[in-house]
Amino acid sequence: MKKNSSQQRQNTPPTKKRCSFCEKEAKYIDYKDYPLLKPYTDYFANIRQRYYTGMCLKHQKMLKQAVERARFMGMLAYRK
Amino acid sequence: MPTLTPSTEDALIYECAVLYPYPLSQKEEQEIIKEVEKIFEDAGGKQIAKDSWGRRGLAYAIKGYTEGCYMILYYELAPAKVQEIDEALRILRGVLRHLIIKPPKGYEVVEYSEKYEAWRKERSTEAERRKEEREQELQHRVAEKAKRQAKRAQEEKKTTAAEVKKPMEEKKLTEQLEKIISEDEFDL
Repeated sequence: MKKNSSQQRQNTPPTKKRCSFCEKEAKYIDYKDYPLLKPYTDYFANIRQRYYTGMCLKHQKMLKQAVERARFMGMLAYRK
Repeated sequence: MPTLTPSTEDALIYECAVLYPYPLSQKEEQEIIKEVEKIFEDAGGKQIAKDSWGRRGLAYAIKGYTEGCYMILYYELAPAKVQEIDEALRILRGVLRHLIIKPPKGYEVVEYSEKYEAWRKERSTEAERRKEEREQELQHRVAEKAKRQAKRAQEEKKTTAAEVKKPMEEKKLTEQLEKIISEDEFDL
């Protein structure tokens, strides 16, 4: 069984995640649109890492700004 | 929706979000709105757009309030006046939070009050769908359980019937055996 799984891993090429904001060509992430931001935070209301969401650095920085603003205004939680 | 471009070079466009508590009488609510607008007007601001969101739940309690109302204002202001307004809003009673930001170039005013309701409807419909799916699953499970129970009951009936038959046969056998033995004994 072990051999099989390792072989499968070798056969399938690693898929590259794509930045969902790049696909929309977003120039700015609005903090007021907090339903959009919510999926980018985990259960404890921390911002999900770029490694897991596949965001590009540019949009990750914008997202951070937006989430922090939304948190200040009481739209998103700081800690759950 | 109009894009935001300042009319003169001295002024910039600022976006201000104000959060005030929800369970308020209409008088108090209007007073707060008036005072906020007055602060901007005193500083020589020109209102471009206004978007009041209405009642929303807060992610965490602010000064004991778990619900609040948001109001978003777009004003054309001189940059030097922003600090004054910021301080005035901080002092103003009835305002839980406020945030003044400079929207980026080419930013279009989006009315999130409408968007939010649409999103909420979508979410509610999704929740309903999930509920229905769950109910269907439950019904399916119940039906399967009933079927299984019926099957088990039938099997039990069969087995009990067989068990009932067996002792009868045993009894008959013993009787026959006894008969034979007795006959044999007689023969002997």
